[in-house]
Amino acid sequence: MSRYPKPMARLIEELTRLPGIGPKTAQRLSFFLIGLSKEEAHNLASAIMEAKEKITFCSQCFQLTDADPCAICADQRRDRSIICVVEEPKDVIAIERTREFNGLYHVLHGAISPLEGIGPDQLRIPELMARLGPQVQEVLLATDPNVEGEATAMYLARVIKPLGIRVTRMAHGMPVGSDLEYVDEVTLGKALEGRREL
Amino acid sequence: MRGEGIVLRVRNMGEADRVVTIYTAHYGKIRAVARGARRVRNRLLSPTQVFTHGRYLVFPGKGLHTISQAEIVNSYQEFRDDLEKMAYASYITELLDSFTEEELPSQELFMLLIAAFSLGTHGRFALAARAFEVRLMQELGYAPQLHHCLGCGSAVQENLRFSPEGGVVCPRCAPRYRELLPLSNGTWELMKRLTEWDVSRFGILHPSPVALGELERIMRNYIDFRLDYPLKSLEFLETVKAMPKDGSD
Repeated sequence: MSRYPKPMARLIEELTRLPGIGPKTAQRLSFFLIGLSKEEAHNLASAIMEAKEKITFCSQCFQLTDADPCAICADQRRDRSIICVVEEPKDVIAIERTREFNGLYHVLHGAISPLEGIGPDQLRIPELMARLGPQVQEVLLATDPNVEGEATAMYLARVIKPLGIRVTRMAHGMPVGSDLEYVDEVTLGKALEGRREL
Repeated sequence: MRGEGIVLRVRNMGEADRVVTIYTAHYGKIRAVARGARRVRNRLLSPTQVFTHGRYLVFPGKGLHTISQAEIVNSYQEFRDDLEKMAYASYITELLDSFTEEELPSQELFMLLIAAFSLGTHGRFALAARAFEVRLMQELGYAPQLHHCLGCGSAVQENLRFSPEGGVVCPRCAPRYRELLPLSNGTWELMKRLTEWDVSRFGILHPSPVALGELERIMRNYIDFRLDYPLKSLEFLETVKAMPKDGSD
């Protein structure tokens, strides 16, 4: 690293902090950045600063937002009787891309993990419970279909059901475009279990 | 490396990889990378889920090994569909992970894990957890002394107490020990069977809830005495046990 001029060495060091970026990639990126015009470099730097300064969490759903409440929570056309619970902010983006869901969201910022010592009180579960007023009729649990996601979904079902609210879970099934023979037995079993009439 | 194993722990690595800790029948505990195992269509996605019993083909590496192929023997899906079973299975896997070193083979511990999971699938995780604790300690060389007093070495019969330091204490030696726990004759008999019987026979045991409760307190203290840090899954297990059941899972 000492072979680089000091400011460039610092840039490489900072880039190495990014996820999935090793020293080699960081060096390549730094050469690219040095090659940018002053204006382009300034735009990149100001975009990072603007995102850092303006992005906060929505006080209702805890999605990333630049205005509180976020665009989804503020939209009066959205169905307020159903809340979709997800683990991470990027899950909201994924579901929004489908254009199939018109309700509200709640981002937990993680999942219950008995093996990592992450319990219900370390997630945004109390805030979710506080949102479950009389207008909420259904909570859709869209946590990941892995051990942590299932633990979170089962825990939430146990605490929400006694309130008389309908609790639903995202369906498990075969990926669109896949070959049946390559689908593993667990997924196939779940797909059979959740079969529906045509 | 080729053979059967049970996944104890999974950690995400990089963009789409997983580091999987597997307890194998022939090599003991191993850690291996499953490349691309977080992608939806990857063949390693399902066999590298926690609690999965599978057949694995692993290429040895200098640090981490690499999983090349895997197929499921038993996914133990029921542990993922029931909060209490999941909490117990997490406790058992964390216990095994905490007490074992990598690549020290023990066929007995693998069979013990299978036996405990098998009891768990039949809804008998309270017995499975106690049996696993007692037998794990025994296999690792920490077997509690059950036939002779820890203090004077005399053969013990009744009015016993248990010391987390290592076994039963007779009434005469009891005043010399601190933190003694009550040990009824029923629990003492249960402990002896769990140390002496073949693991495949544990299913025919039907101890009373009182004996299981007493043994739970004894083994908790016994394990705490030997482990420097608290088990993370224990808090979750206690939370789940305290929750009212509503039949939703």
